[in-house]
Amino acid sequence: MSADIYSDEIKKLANACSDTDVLEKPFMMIELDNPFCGDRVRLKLKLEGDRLIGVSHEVKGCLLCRASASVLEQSAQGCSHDDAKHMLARLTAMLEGEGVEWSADWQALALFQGVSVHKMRHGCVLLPFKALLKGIAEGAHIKIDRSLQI
Amino acid sequence: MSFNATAFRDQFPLLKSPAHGGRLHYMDSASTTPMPGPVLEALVEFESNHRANVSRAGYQLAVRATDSYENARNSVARYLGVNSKGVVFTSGTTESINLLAHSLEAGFNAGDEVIVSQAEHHSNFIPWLMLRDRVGINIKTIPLLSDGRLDLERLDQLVSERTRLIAVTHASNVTGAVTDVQRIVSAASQVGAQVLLDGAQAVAHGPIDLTALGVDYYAFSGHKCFAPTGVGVLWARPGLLDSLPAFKGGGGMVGRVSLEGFTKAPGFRGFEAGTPPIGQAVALGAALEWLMTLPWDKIKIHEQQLISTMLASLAGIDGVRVIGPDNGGDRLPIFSFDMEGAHPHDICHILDSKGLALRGGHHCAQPLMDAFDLMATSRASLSFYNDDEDIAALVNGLQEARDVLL
Repeated sequence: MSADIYSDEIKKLANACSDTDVLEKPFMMIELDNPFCGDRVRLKLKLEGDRLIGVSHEVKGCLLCRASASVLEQSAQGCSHDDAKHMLARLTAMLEGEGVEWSADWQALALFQGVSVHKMRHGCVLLPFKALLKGIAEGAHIKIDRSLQI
Repeated sequence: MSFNATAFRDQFPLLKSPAHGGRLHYMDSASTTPMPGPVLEALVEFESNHRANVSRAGYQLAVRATDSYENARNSVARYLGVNSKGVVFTSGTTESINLLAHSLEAGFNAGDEVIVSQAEHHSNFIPWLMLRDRVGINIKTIPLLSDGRLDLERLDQLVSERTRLIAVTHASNVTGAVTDVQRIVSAASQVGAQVLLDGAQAVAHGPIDLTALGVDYYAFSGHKCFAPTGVGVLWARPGLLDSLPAFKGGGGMVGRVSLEGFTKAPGFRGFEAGTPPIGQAVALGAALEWLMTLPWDKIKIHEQQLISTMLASLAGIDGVRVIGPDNGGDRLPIFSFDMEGAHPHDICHILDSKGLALRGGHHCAQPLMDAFDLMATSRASLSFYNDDEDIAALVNGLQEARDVLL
């Protein structure tokens, strides 16, 4: 059962490198840890107002966290603060067992459906998206909703 | 006769529980330990037949409860080889050390020094950082050798006339490295500094002789030595408790109280405010009494064999690096390891599917992780109920983890 969440597609995403040097300055940096397991996500973000126009990631963490960050980098271009908040909520819902339909851009997130039965791993998948929301909020000076528990 | 780990494992209902769906290879004893039958029975017996508040009322039930609680204090004292007058019941090691940090505060000035090591659990690090932020003391850190032992060659350079306390682990919860306490005490005595030992890990591996160790304070948790959560101990050398102000205020720790003020009760009573964790303390006493009946000469040999087998087994797996001493004499059976290319969280997830309970993470020791340039390790922490079958299962599980993850 444990191997279910380590599909070839997820491993491929986890091993996809992000070229963190490509993003032109200026950009902001956001770093977020999962204190439970030692995952650390670092995102470089280019914003126009509250809209993401460029992102790269660097993750020191588990395979699921790295894979999730790869999906984020592939698909988050153009996200606003509200989009990021919406994505985090939908990803959380999927992990909590709710049926979620993904758009073509975000279809890769369906690969993490199998993680829903492993509660202790939800945080690994969510961490990059929490970092994205926090980064956009800080960059655009938007107050973060406490209920998001970043 | 060799040690029969199976016979001891059978005394722990949790380890035999059908809830696991097969044999549970429990290798997270550094995090918490299961409770054996005699301890569970003692807890139920107390709560069923002798439960009342302690040191307050005078009816027979209350007297029995108080006697049970104080007998537990005596059991702690016997296990530590000390007088019970210095034994304070707390909620655990973390509260014990916070109590000490707060109570010592009044006697510390800005510029005074507390020495810790880079191997400390956060519970023996953060209270001193918080004291630094409140009072302006300096924190000095003993660095680590490449095998995780404290680099005590640096101790003489760190100790000074301003050193008031050396607070170090008796044994690391990450590397298993056992501290050379004699060198710590010797260095402290040169400058009149006191010594606190964090005994959270060491206490489960046999009775402690605090008189021989020569330290001033010792802290440990019940749940790490086969007793319930919610109870622990701070021991202080005779006379020290009366020289310290109280940490928490409330019922039970007072002599006289008026609208204008209060007097603190003498000795350990001055540090046990509110209703204590009574049943838990009674169970802790039972656990320590039970531990004192065990054949520690045989257990020590068994643990050394576990250490040898585990180190040899992990060395035989490609890409696995153990963080800790390779000499059994310098360590407990606690093994943190790194597998190249695989994260501990993933490794432990796969091991869990094989009935192997290990912890993956920073183990509340982030400065130690920094010393080894790691974010996290996988950790197998063994006790006398583990055997070669557990180690063989771990090796098989790690090889499967390699196949899945790499």
